[in-house]
Amino acid sequence: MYLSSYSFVEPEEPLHLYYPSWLNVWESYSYKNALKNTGANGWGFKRFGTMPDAYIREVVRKPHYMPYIDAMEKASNEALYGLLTKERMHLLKSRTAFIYVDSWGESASFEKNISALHTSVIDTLPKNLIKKFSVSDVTCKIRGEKNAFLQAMRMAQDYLNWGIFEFVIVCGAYRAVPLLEFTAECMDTERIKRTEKSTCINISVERIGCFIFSQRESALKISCGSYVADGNNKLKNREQFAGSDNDFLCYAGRNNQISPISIPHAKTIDLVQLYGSSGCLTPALGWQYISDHCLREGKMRTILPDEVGGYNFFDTWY
Amino acid sequence: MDRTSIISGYSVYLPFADSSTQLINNLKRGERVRLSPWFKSDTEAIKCGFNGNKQVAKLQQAKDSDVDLLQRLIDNALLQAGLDESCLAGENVRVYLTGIGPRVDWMDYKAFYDQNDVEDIKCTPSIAQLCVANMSQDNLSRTLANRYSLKYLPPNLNCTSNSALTAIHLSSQAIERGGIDLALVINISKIKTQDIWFLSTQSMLDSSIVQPFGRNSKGVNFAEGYSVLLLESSHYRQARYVSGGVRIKSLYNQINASRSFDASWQSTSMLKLINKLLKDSEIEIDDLCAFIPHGNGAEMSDCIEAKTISLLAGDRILPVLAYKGQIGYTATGSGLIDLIIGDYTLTHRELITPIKNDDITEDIARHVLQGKAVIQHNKHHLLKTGMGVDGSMIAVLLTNTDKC
Repeated sequence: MYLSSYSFVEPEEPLHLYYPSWLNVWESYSYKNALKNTGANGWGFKRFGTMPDAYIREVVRKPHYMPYIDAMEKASNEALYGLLTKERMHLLKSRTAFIYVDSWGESASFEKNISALHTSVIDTLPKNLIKKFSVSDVTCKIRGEKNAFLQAMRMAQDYLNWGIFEFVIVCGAYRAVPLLEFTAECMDTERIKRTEKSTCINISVERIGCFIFSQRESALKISCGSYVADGNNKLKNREQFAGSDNDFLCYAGRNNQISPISIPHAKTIDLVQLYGSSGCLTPALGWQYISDHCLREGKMRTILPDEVGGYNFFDTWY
Repeated sequence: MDRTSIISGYSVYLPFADSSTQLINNLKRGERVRLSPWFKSDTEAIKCGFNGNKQVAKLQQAKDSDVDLLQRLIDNALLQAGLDESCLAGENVRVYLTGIGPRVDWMDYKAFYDQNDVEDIKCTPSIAQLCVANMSQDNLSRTLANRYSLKYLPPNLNCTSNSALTAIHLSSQAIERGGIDLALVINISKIKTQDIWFLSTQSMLDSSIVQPFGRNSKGVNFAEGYSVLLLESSHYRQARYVSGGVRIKSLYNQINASRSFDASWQSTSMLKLINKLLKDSEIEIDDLCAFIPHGNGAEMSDCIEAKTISLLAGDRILPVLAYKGQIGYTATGSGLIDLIIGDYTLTHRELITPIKNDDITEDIARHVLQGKAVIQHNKHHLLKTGMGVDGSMIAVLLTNTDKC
C-alpha cells in the first residue's frame, strides 16, 4: 500500500524537565525505577497545553486538554489538504475507513476538569474527524502502548489489499501522562538494569499523526511485516534480518531489548534518541526522517522491539 | 461458488451462563441474570457522585485479561469447529480482540492520583494498581500471539457497543473477498467504575426495571462477559469436507458524518441499511424467522429501534427477540452473544422467547415475543442489528445453509 499523505503535529510549547514531588510517593517511586531501568538521569516532557506561568509540576501533570484535541483537527486538516484536489474529492466520496489509535485506551481520566463530550473524543472516537473525512464506512479505535499504530497499519494494508476499502485513514494521538510513561518503562522485567549512570535524559514528546493510506501510487510505499516472537534468536542471522536491500534500519524502542545492530550497507537510526518517545506513534517517525533528510530512492526498515525479545516491523520504499 | 463466511464455533463465559450450552439451557428455563450492587453501599455510591447504588452482573473470578479463561474459550470454539489450534498459525487467519481492553479502575487511584504519601500507599495499596503493567493491551496481544503462534499481533478494536459486531463485519468481508479463511473474534467486557459513570451520563442506568422496548424501562442490566466466535470461509470448510452451517452477511454504516444525534435520522438510516441488506440477499421480511435488535432497555436507543421495527414490518408481524433484560447487556460484546443465540435459533429451528419484565410499548407490542416458551419455526433467515454511541450501525443476516 502507499502512504498518500500524512502529517505530524507536535506541541509548540517548550520542553519541561520534570520530576515528581515527594508528596506523590507512587509517582516518585515509579520515576526512580524508570530512570534506573533506562539508565537516564532525568525526564523531559513536551506536552500540548502546558501553561508557561503555572507551577512547574502542574505544568507537566495537568496541561489543558483542548490544545491536544485541536491538534487532532490540525493534523487531519494538513493530511487531507496534503492530497491533490482530485484525490481529496475522491477520498470524500470513496469507501473510506477511519482508525483512531492511542497508547493508553483511556487517558481522559488524567485530564483536568474534562467534560463528558471531550472524554468521548479522547477515549472513544474523535467524531469531528469523521465528519471532516466524510467517513460512512468502518470506524474503530485501536489501543496498544507501543504496537497500536503498527496493528492499525496492518489492518489498513489487509483491507486495502482485499479491495474492501479505497482509503484507510489512521489518526494516532499520543498523550504523555508522566506516571504512565514511567511505569511503561518498568514493564521490561528481562532488561538488565543499567548500573552506570549516564548523563542523558529521557524525552517524551506528545504527537498527533494523521496518515492516509491507499493503493494509489505515491512517493512512499509501505509493506507491513509479521510479528516475530523470538527476535533475539532470529537476530543471530543478522544479514537475513536486516535485509540486504535496506538503506536504513530504524529502531523505535527505548533502550531496546533487541540491541541495534550495525551492518555495513545500512545506516542505523534510533528514533527515540533522535525525536523523543511518542508511544505508539514512535515507529511512524521514520517517515519524518525521510522527509527531514529529503531521502530519495531507497528502502527503510522500521523495527519495533517489545519487552520480551520479540519485534514487529514494516518496510518503507521512498 | 462465491465465498461466504460461516459461523464455525463459539463459546461464552457470562454471569448468566458458563458456556454456550448453558446459555441456551438457561434461556429455555427462563432464568434471569443475577445482579449485585457495584458499590459497597449507597453511601459510597453517593460519595462517588452517583444518585444511589447501581446493580450490575459481575464475573466474580475473571480478570481483565484472564489468559487461562481466554484459552479455554478459544479451545472450546476450535473444538466445536472441529479444528486444531495449529490452524490459527497460518497466514490466512486474523484474530481480533474487541472491547475496551485491560484497564485500571478509577476507584483504585482517583482520590490519590495527585498526592499520596508512604502511609497512604500502606493503607490504600490500590494506588499502586495504577501502572501500565495492569492495563497493558500489548501484553495481552503478545501472550495470545505467542500461545497460538499467530502471524500477526491481534489488535484490540473498540467501537463502543458495536465492538464485537464490527470485528465480525470486517472478518466476514475479508472472508468473502478471499483475503482469509479463518477469523477469530474475541470479546472481553469487564466493568469499571468509569463505565458506570459513562452509562449514567447516557441515562442508561435510570431504572431498576429493565425490559427492552418496555414501557417503564429506562436502563440496562449492565453485565460483564467473555465471548469468542470463529468464522470460517465456505471454501475452507469444503476442503475439509464440512458442509452446512450458518452463513453471515453484514452491512455497516457510520452516520456521524451527517446528523448523528437526530433520532428520526438514526431510525431511517437503520431502516435503509436493513432494506439494502435484505435486497442484496433477495430476502423478504416474511422469510425471517426473527429479528434480534440491539434492544438493551435504554430508552433512547430502544425508541429509535422501535420506530425502525414499525417501519420495517408495516402491517406484517416480525417476531422480535430481545434478550438483554434477561441475560444482561454485555456492553461491547452483546452482538456476539446474540449471534450465538441466532445460530442456535436457525440450526435447531426454535425461537426461545425471553422472559417478561415489563409491558412492551404499544407501537411494537405485537412484534416482541415474551414469556417462557419455545416456538418451532421452519425459516432459514434471521436478522440482527447493532447500534453504537460512536455512530456505527450494523445489520447482519444469518442464513442457515443446511437445507438451502
